[in-house]
Amino acid sequence: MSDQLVERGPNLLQIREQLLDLFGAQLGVYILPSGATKPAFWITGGGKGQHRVPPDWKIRGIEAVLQRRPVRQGLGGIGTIIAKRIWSLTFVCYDSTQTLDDIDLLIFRAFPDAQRRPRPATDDTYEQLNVELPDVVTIQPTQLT
Amino acid sequence: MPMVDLRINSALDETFADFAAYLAQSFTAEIREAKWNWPTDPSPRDIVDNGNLAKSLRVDGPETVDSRIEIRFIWEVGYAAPVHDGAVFKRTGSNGQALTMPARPWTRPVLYDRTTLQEYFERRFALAMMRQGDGKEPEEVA
Repeated sequence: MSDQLVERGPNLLQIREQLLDLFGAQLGVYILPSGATKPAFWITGGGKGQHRVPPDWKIRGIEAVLQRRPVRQGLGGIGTIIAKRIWSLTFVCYDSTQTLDDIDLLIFRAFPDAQRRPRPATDDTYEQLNVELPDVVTIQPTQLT
Repeated sequence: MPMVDLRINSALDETFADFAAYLAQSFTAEIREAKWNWPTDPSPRDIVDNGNLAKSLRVDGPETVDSRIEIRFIWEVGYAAPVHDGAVFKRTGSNGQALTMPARPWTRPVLYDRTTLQEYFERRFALAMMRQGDGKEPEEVA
């Protein structure tokens, strides 16, 4: 018999869906070499450990990048641990005719306790919004036989 | 105001001032620690180039704002935010993709270590309260 830790809370794909429901309409698109498009939402550290889209993809409009691994903070508990996860999410606006203001407001309305750090575009860099999204999960040992 | 309230307030003032200095020191240590991955050797290494980022830290507070005690840590060089949160540049590399600077969020390891921060604060507050009690410097609590 051995113990395995099980985290009870939304998984990465569920979080992605939740976030796309919230601001998917604001996002731009990736244009793949084939000409196909997909929503500009990237999760880092996938199969090839990539931290950004492949170099032959083009980005139009606003891109969201979610760090695959959240930071976890223990909030207490005996046996079952209650933990806060903090997800790092970065938006970059590649289109000078758009802004990240609407996304900032959407995030604020949906997650009032999220930390938001907006940064305007400069001559050298695109407009960016860094967000740290908290959620609470439980982590409990499950005995395997 | 009762004497005990005055002592608590005074001990809190002392503890927050101490806490601000402790956080400032911890942030600077994180900047100087060799822990960040780089595409070229040596890696990992620190994010110190000429030391101006670490030296630019200004601490405002502690001060009471809307019934909360606030301490603001401000790095006064213009590139502090792009270094901390990363940046995407408008110029492109040889492959046509925008150049990027990865995020090096040096405040996170300090602020996310709640246990260490809480223990430090409680220990310093206990010492400050003891000093308020009899006016004598207490022996260091382990």
